[in-house]
Amino acid sequence: MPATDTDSRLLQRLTRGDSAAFECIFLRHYQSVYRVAYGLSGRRDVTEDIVQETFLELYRQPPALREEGSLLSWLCRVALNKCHNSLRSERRAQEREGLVYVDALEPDYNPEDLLLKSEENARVRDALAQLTERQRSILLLRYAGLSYAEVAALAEIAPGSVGTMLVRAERAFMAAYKKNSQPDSQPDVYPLERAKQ
Amino acid sequence: MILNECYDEGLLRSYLDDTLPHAEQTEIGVHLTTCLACRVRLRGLKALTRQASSLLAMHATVPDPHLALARLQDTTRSNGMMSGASSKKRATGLPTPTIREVAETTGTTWPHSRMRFALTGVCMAIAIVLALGLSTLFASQRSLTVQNSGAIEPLVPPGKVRHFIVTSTIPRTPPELEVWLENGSKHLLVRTLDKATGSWKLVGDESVWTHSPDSLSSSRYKLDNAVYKTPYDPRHLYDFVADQAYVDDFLMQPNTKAVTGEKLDGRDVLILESSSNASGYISRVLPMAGTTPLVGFPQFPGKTIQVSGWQPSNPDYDSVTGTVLPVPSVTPQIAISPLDANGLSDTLADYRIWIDKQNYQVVRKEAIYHYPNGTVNSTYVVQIIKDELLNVVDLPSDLFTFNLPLGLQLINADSSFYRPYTSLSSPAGNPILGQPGWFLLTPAGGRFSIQFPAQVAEVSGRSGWWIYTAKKGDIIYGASYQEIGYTPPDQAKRDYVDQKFSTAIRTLSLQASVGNMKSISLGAYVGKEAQVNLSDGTFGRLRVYLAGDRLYSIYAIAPDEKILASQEVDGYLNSFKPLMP
Repeated sequence: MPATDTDSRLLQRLTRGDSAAFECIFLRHYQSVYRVAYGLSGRRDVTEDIVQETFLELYRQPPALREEGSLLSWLCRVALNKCHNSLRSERRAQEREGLVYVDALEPDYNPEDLLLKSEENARVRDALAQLTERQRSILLLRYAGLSYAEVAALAEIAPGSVGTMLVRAERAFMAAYKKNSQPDSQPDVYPLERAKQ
Repeated sequence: MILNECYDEGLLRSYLDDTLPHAEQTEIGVHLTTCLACRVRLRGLKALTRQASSLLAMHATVPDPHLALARLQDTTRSNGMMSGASSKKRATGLPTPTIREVAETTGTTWPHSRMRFALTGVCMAIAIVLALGLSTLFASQRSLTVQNSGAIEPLVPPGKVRHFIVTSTIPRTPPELEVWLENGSKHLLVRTLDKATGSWKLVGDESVWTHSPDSLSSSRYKLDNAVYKTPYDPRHLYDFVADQAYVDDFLMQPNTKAVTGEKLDGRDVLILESSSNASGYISRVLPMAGTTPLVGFPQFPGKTIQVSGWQPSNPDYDSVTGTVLPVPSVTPQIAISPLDANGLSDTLADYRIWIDKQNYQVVRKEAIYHYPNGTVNSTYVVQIIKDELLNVVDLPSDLFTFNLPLGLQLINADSSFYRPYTSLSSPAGNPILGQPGWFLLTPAGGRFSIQFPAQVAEVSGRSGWWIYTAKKGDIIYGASYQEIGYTPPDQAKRDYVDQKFSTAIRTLSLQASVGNMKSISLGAYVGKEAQVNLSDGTFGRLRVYLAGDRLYSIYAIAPDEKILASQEVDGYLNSFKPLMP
């Protein structure tokens, strides 16, 4: 299969039952969808489930898309919805059981690296958690590679406002990150603890 | 109210991301070449985006997509999730990955990487457009043929303004820079040969600068070294230069001139020349005696070319200049020129490598700031590596020391165009009879008079630009003038003043808000005035007049807006009189 096949062509093939097309789509967009989902959920186990479910939904019911490039937007929309649903259910479970989830340890890291990385990740996660839901979505969607028009559609804002809101989101994110980097700053538990507030 | 001719951050962010319509993208690009305030804002936005994207990229370490796909396939096989799928082929579960056939993950390109060189592209296109345009002064050819001519050395890359690298090998072969237009003159490309790797590299890290026949446009990027060798058509380049506002702004800079009378393909051509690199959009092509050509344009043998342009990453210094050192073995020694008699200077200076105490070569022009305590704000260190490599790099100021055995020599500290700020030994102004406490200032050569409510306590400036200030109570009174080098024609004076007025306000503060702006005149002299609310909380009343080839600014600044409405301030502002010869 040509590496240059467009998303729309791959979708057509997928609709006709061409499973190789699914592989191409998966490998092409997996990273972007993963970043969005991880940015929202903050947990790798949850993220992997969400990404799997998102692509399974694509596999089961390929959307009929007209515009090139909108497949990633569709995938992100599905992932966003699944993230929100997951957060709601996790929040309920947490409230019921009094649990606080922590991110799973990653393989292939030595303890020092892991410690540094987990601390850094915690600061970034906490900074993301301090954004409004809309700011977080705009930031993650844009940095996942979506166009301004796609970000505007998913975030339900005017296309002309994306630039401004993106700058605000970046500012808020960096401010929160710097604040979290202060020595006396304690990383927040993301996003489950915050969701309870 | 933010100055309406500047762009808000949302638009600038969109510009960075190259998401605006072509016309708007072009308009902002052109505006940025003349607006320091917007460039500074843009630089801030770019840094913000870079930081945020870096953190977010690091934060989300994405698992290998192939492994994830394999896991998904295992899952679907084990729990039969695919039953009921829309085709029989998929009903047995997802296929095993066939990596050979897999496309690249193009969807994960992070926006910041795409935007990284957007502005570099625009600004460098402008700079190179000018450089190429001016180059016809010296070139008889009308087309550029791209040639790979043997050993080519890396240049001081455009865009790396503060990182100067000179690689020396003996015998030295003139380095070469290739510039051409791609695909029917739509893309302006520049590339150099990286000698270390032996590969061609598009200048600006794989940037491709887009240039439409009508105007400068946004950037596009090619991540490969594919090149398109099409004839260079200089007509497109002049189309851009011919913008009157641009020319006016260019000529505002010191030591600039416009040359008319040239023709290109039967069309009148305006050539802009400058020998200063203090501003952001100057270019020139000129011979430099005794200097090995840095940039070996095939059509300009024996010339040294300087291309200048502002960079979003470094808007303060805009020059891209380089000169090769044709010296096999050097033992540079450091010497910094003494400060002026007042113990301070602020001067544009030439740096030279001092070679064997006799053989000088200009390696860089740069501004340097001296302060009474002897510290140097802009710092450079010269290192000799293997007797071949001269590496001049930016270093934090605390690493700089005058005791280094190697370094740069500052020469020509008092050039004819920039001389150090000086302070008058005695206050200026003569008491006015019948008006106690007021002083009449008629500075020599100033061609104006004004009545200050207090004695003028400070005069500073340099050739072509003088400032007089006095303080009374909480109010600071100021008058300044700038020699603009030419007299704008009558029909252009109003536009000229409008433009410069906005620039003056932006100079006062990036966040200034302006009210009560209106056009004024003083006899035959056009002007403009406004009330300004500065970002530090103070207020100002500002008037600008154009008189001949000078732009005068009269202002008063106070912490309270009400104070500025006093009769004293009115009297001061109204007392200004141009005294034209």
